[in-house]
Amino acid sequence: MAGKKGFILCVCQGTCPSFSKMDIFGVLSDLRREKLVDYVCLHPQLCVGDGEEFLKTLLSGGETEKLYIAACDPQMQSKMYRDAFEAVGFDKTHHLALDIRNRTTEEAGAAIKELIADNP
Amino acid sequence: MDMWRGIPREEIPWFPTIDDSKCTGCGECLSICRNGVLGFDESSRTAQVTNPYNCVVECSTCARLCPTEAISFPDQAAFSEFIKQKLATGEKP
Ligand code: SF4
Ligand code: SF4
Ligand code: SF4
Repeated sequence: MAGKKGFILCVCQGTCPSFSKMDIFGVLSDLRREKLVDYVCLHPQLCVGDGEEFLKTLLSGGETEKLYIAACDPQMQSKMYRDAFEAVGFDKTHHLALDIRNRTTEEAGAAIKELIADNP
Repeated sequence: MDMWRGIPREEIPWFPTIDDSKCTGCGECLSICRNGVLGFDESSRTAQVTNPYNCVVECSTCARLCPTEAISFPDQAAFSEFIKQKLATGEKP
């Protein structure tokens, strides 16, 4: 069976001005409607302790093959999630990162779809 | 942001503190933060906190990524207790 594709939106707790142009739940709902991934979720702050715990728990069963994360800068993401991925043996090349700070709902949605299409 | 969940932002002591003796002036934090919290002091070649109350409450990304651990934030447990009290008494409908 092919592995699953998951999507996480991380938004700096929703209070960061970087995410104020975007309707957070709108982005998630639009993506779900397209059925481009097997699951979507929202996390307020993946880069702190319980966020890492979330990633480890999510990935520990090995069911997720590709994990798309729309959040901050891709380089920042890879530095901040590295330990969690390593802890559960998740291949970091299967983490596809997208910076969606300062985007509108439409811009964020289009960028996410493009990321998934380019990295099926 | 003037208010955070109904509480005036300036009543919330959440912002970075930079230890000048540890800061190498690499600029990493300045490129991470988009909120205008940090500035660069050319004479000392170190990062400085210029707009503390622009800092996103409970964000600590710059501290996490500073290569020399020069950036610190309030103690988590004490801050959690403070914010719980503040939310219980200060939040407006
Ligand atoms: S991982 Fe990035 S987007 Fe998520 S809370 Fe941390 S800094 Fe913000
Ligand atoms: S990331 Fe750390 S060392 Fe680099 S400029 Fe900022 S405080 Fe200084
Ligand atoms: S904690 Fe976040 S918002 Fe505050 S100065 Fe650092 S990066 Fe900017």
